[in-house]
Amino acid sequence: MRFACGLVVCLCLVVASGAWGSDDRGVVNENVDLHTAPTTAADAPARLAAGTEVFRLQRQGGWIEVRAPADNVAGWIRVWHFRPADTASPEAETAETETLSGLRRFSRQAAGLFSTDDTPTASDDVTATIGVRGLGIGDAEDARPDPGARTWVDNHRVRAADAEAFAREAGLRPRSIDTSAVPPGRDQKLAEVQP
Amino acid sequence: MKKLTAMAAGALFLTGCADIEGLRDLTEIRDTVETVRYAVGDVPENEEREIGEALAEQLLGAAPPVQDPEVQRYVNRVGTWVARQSDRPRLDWTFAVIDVDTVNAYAAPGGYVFVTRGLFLLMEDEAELAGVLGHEIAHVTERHHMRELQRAARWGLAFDLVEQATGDGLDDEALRALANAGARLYDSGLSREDELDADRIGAIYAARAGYDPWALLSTLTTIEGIHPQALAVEQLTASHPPTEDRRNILAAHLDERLGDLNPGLRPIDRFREVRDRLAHDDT
Repeated sequence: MRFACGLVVCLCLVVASGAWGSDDRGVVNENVDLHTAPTTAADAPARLAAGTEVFRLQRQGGWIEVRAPADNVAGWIRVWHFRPADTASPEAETAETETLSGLRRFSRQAAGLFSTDDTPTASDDVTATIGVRGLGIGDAEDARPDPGARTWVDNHRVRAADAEAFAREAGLRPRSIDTSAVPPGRDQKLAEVQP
Repeated sequence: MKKLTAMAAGALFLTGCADIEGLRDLTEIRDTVETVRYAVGDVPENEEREIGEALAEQLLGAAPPVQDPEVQRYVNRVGTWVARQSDRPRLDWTFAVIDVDTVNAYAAPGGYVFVTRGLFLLMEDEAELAGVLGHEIAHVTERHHMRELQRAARWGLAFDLVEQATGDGLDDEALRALANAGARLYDSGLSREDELDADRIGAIYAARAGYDPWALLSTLTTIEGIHPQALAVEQLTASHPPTEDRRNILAAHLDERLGDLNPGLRPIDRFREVRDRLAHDDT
């Protein structure tokens, strides 16, 4: 498989801008095609390997345009293939952010820790096998009910006004969107046409 | 269902005719109606909440809440905000992070939503959390678990408890039986249609709350990267459609429905502060 084979988009203007915010740097989380337009119908003359560093250029619906400096290419990928960087810039990596990276590795390792024997896992650097708690099949059914824990949880509910103020702090505003269902059987048809 | 309803209606009719001169059997008739109602009709909101409380106690017995009020307050603020944009905004919505490292989230009737520490740590921003919570909120607003419990009742799997639900609410034994049936649902899962509906509706709830609805797809992509046989996702895998299917179907739906919508926000900093805190709690 060829990665970044061919330059799909002229990058001159992109490179010139150079003003990337902390949220604009990231990596692609899978091997992904770089499309020339935000649609799967568009050509995809280049491909990025999982883990390639990219910069986010613009967003359109479920698509995001990215630039990959190392490969000197740009193009459109699905939004969920962009993983934002943990830090604002490489220079900003502090002990705290290293801790964050560490805990995320821990969580991914936890996924591996629970793997069955001889099962390949997404994590390839498992280093510990203790201290991980799981909730597996049958555990909830076999458990002794804990009314005290439920009361504790109930006591940590928040008022609607509190939640609303918290949302406003982040600039969140309610939007009117209906939840009307797609016609019966539509989901399956969509699944069949979507790669 | 039609057959059962017809049988019940027939029984009521005969009972009514036999005692038409007297009203002493009205109580019996009412009880029968209540029994049928629990099996096929709507459960009153207060009793739905009671069932949810019992199921929450069952789940928390296996997976206690993380003992950090700041973490719980954060997840309640985000969850309540999303739930307020749902089709049942007035429920007593209650959210919690539970102290297990497996990757999953759970809903219980009446407005309970739980997310595991393991799943929380895998997410990148608040919009992903909103999407996950939106999915679980949708299970509650659509009464998916209640419908499955009623289905179980119809097939006699929990019929002893239905018989006890005769207008005076549910007694403790009935609630425990329902909670056990609900806990089994966490293992066996809801129907594929219910899960896909929850993805679709949950993403829209998150979008209504101002979040980026595509964020749920980021979470699904992360989960997809975990081997499906890993025990961390064993229960999730057993109880949900294949993650790749969910992602493709939801993506197609969002492309069609929300492709032209302003994407919405993905708050990062305050989410990561809590995520960091949650990780340090894990010592």
